[in-house]
Amino acid sequence: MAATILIVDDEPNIVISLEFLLAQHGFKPYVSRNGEQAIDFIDSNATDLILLDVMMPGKSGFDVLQHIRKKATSDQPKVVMLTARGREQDIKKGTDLGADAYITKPFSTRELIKLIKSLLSIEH
Amino acid sequence: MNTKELKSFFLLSVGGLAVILLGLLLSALLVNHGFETSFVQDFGFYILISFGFLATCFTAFLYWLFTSVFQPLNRLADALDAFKSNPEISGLDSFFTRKLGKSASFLLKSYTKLSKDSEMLAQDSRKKAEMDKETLTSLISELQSGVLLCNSSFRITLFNPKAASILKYVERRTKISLGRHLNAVLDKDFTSYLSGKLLDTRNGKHHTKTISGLHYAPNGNPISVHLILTNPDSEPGSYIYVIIIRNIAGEIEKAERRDRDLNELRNITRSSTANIRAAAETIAEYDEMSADVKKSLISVIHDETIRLGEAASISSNTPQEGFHPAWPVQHILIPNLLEDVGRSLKSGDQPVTLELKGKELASFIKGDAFALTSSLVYIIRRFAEKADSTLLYVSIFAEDRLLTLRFSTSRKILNQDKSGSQFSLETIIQNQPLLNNSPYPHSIHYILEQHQAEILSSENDTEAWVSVIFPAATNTAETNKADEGKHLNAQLLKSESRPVYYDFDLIGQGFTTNKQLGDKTLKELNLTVFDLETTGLNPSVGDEIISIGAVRVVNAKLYKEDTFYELVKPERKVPDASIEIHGITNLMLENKPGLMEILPHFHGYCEDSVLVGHNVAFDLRFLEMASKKTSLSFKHPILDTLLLSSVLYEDADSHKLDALCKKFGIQIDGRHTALGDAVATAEALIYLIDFLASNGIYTLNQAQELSKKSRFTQLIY
Repeated sequence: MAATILIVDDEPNIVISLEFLLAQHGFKPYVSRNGEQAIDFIDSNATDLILLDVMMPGKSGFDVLQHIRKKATSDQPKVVMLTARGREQDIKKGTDLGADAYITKPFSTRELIKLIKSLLSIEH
Repeated sequence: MNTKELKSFFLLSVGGLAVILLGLLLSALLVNHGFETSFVQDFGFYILISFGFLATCFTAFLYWLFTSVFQPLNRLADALDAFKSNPEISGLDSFFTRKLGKSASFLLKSYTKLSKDSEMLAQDSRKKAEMDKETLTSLISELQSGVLLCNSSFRITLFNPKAASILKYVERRTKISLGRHLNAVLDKDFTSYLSGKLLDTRNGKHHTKTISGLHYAPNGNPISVHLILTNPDSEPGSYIYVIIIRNIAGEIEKAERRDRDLNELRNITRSSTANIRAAAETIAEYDEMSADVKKSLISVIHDETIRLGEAASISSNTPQEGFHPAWPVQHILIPNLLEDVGRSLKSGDQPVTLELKGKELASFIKGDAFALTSSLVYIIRRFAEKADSTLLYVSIFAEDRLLTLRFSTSRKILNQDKSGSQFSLETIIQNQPLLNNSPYPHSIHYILEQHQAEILSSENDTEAWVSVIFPAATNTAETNKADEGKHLNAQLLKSESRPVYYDFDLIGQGFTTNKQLGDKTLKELNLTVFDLETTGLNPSVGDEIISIGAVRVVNAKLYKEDTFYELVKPERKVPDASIEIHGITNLMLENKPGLMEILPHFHGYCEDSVLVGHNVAFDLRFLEMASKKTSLSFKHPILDTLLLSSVLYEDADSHKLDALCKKFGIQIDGRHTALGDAVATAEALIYLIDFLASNGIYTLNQAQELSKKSRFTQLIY
């Protein structure tokens, strides 16, 4: 069964590419435009991986990450922070809060897909 | 011999000669048993010869005694008197007296010359000191930075116009004025933090001579404050502090705008580049994609290129001048920071203990120590409250260029807010506008942002923790000093010259505790002379304060520029009978604030001073009734000019304020207005202080003891 991936980003221009790319690689992409939408989606849908932007109006990516990691479920989704905020203390905060990877924009799409597959333990 | 001496000489001569003659006659009588004609005839000649011989010897001896003993002694006494009255020494008749007189005159001349020389030297020194003082004051008055000088007990002894303008009076805030405590114009917690750090004697010596921090002026403007101890090697009672303040509102705003622009530029560049790259890579890799998808991706590239172009304009709008951080920062040693935080946490109603777990790393971060300490204390307190724990562990982690402080507890944080979401310290801080409810101008969120710090809270099965991540600083103490020096290099500004306000006599006046206050002289004390106008005479049946006026007397000088005057809206109407006295109508009070609003300001105004009034028991009764409704207490030491006057001028017909002022020739401007009466009382007080001193009454205790003797002490209101 295709892995479910949630793209959380308020930037529509990155979403177009990511959605297309993920579909091309056999994933099932969903899109949330802000933190609140993302929390609603995660609370009601099984998600394998989340591509999470940090800076969004309302709840930030860190808030969403905290929400996810505080859930007492055993099947925690993988979380990849995908953000233009590239300070060392941001990266440290993301990983300390339980992100599996922290990618600073701009990034290579090929590397991203490689990372997603490796996190989901899928053969390349 | 002078006339007096001649008269004595003559009297003694006559007396002596008479005694000799009598003696001779008696001797002859004893030999012959009576005066017979033949006896006078036989011995008269011999008696005459004997008398003549004895009289000559006696007179010669007497003359010698006068000229050689009495007269020199008298001249010596004259000479000594001459030191007082400076007359020419005359009547020098003998060699001895002439010599003595000459010596005395020489001594007198030398003394006079010495006095003149000393006076001239003193005058020269005074003139030089005056010139130095003028040079210093004109230099200070021209400085672009605000300068305040404080004595060892932080009383202001000098300030320049720039300081007055930076700390400018905002309605009802205590005004900067000589003799006031620094706390009156700067926040108490802030000043005690700075002075505490400066006088830190943990290792038996001072760590530093200078400490700085960001604070705020009464009007809310952020200011940088540098506190300098000028003479750390002196006795603590002789310390002199220089405080240099600068309004950095403009600089901070500029720096913030630049940071905002740079951040925006970086974010736009990164995300646009990411969008373009992703779109381009997708197009390149998937030739067979549908025309619609391809079109969307091309349009992404197009849009993002435009966005990047617009972003470039942000950078060109950013000010080009070099970056000078307005926020006064210093290198902070982490163990020192934690020690300060730990100390603050231990104080207060709910003490929290901080225990170090793991290694103490002597790392540095760069920032404002006061702001950071206060922020961390707030954060940890909230965390401890949520965890319901009074013991927290702190660990320090250093990795790459980051430094993390991790505060943890073994208790779990189970509290949930109303929406059901878990406790988030970040949210609390975001919603906390001000630092610990203090009037500090910036929020904790802002302070952390300025320090480029990140905060996160989390928990697992065994513990809950909050981490604060800082960029580590590459420290040297030298860079710290260089930073401070940059601020201290105050520039001269060619502005109009205005006076500096100073009273150097205040410098020697050391730290005073309440216990010591009574032993202070009245001249040394900070006196608040006040008066109230009221709706009537009896507060216990509901009469209220409608006006408070006060003025300060420091060092026996009246500070008319530092007055307090407020009209107060009472809860009851002002009766016509009262209006006739003070002229304050109900209409005048209609839009005025209530007493509960004014009283704290008045309390602040007279903080740390002796309260003085004319018939002050009446006013105190009103203050006491009013303070019952608040947590304020007016337990100041008291002096009453009515009581002092009644003891000092016991026979006077009247001791009313008008009578007292008339005695000293004081004109009352605004009789029966609270401020007018307060100023008149203060002027009378200054005369009374002098009069008390001439009667041997110097200290507050002595004056209070004297007051008890007044018959007016029996008055009860």
